[in-house]
Amino acid sequence: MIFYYHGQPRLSLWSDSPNHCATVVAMLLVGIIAIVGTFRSSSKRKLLPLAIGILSLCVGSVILILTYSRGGWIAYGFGLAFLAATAPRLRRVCAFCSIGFLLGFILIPKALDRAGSVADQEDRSISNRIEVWKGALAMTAAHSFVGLRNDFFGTQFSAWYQPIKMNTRYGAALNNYLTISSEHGSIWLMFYLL
Amino acid sequence: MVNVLFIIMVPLWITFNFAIRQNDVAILGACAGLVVYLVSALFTCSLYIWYINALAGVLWLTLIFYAVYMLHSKKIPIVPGLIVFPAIGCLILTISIYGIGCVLLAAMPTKTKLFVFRESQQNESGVIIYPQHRPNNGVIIYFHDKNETILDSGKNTLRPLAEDGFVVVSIDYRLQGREGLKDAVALLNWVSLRSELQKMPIFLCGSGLGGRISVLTACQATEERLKAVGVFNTETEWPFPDLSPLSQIMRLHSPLLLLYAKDNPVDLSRPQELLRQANLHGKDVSLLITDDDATAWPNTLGRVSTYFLTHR
Repeated sequence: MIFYYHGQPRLSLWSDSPNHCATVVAMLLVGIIAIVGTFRSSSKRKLLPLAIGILSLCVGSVILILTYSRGGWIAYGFGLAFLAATAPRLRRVCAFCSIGFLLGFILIPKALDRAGSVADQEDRSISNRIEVWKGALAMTAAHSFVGLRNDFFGTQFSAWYQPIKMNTRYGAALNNYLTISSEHGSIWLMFYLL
Repeated sequence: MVNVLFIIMVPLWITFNFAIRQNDVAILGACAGLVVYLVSALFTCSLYIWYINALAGVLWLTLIFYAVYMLHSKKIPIVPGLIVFPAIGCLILTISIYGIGCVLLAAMPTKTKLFVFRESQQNESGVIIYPQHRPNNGVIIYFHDKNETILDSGKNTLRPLAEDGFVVVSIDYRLQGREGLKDAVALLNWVSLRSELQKMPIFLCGSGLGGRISVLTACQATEERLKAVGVFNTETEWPFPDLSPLSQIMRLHSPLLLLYAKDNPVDLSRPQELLRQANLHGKDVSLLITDDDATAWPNTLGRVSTYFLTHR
């Protein structure tokens, strides 16, 4: 339920990773926003479902912040931006959700620090991730047609592409597209994306 | 990132532009959920998690049913752009990933080439690592210890040696004594016949069992380009005379460096005995016992690199 990352508790609920929990919650949240928007715009307002929807949005937003998952937050931001761009009638709901989410950042301890660390050059989670991505890109170029092998990213990356002074072990490229391209090759990635 | 956005946004926008016209905002929620799913995969490994895929599957099905309904009721025509735009986007993204990868690969200090060593009976895995931005000082054939593979020694041993300006070759040789020695001799012959490695001095290097294999290979070798041998923490005596460096040392023609860390498990009286025997036969053998522990492995490798450079 609680995942500890460098002593920092992060909510993960049923999941092994707070990042996965954040992805699911963010996917559900944008769906709920659309449904709330539907009820709000209907001529006969249904107050109970609307109230349940708003309550779900509040609880979901707090859960999403408590996961301290920067990737999840960014993905939620993209989801909200997509809704606001494609459905003009949802813009007000999206704006309220964004403001509520930002308020949550101010009220929940360490959330702002965590969000600010995205721009922190010395944050090892980010700098290491960039090194892993670089390695995965180089692996893709070196084995472009058929890739390395399924579930072989971690050992090959560690042996041949990881910077020598970096000791963290990785099982995947921390980016699904790069994991697929390095393990199965560029052609497979293209078909996968299609 | 721009390409990913292109791939995600263009087809979804085209499809759900129709949804907007129908005033059906709920379907846009499903669409936004998929945007979240695809964007989160940029930062995590969420596409490998079954419950996230299940949720995304539900959203996809919702969209597909909606699209079929719209087509069936002839509210939208079939749009060719729905197929063409994603295909072009995917092609651009794939080429971009490959192109950036090529640039990063060229900027790396070493270039790794994996191969299957077919000269052995068992087709072992092998690797050649070339230094990319330094002149080649020679070829090091490295034999790992008995509880390792080339993957284990890749980051800490093979690549640092290559970054010192050596082409490094290693294979997963057979760990049974005589078979391992056959593989090692076959590898030395293979390296000496490689056209791109012609005229380069050859060095043998190994750790533990690999060190013993290196010394024994050097004792059997007739290759003139073999210039030196450097071994780490290696047992110099063995019950079988043909597999014991102590009993083979009189056949050695190359300089040999025996390097031992202070915390190594080998009884140090044995290499000292080997040194005494080597001196009796007039062989160029050096014994170095260092204060290096396991954390000072780069220093240990540096000592061997320096030894090889002085014996080029």
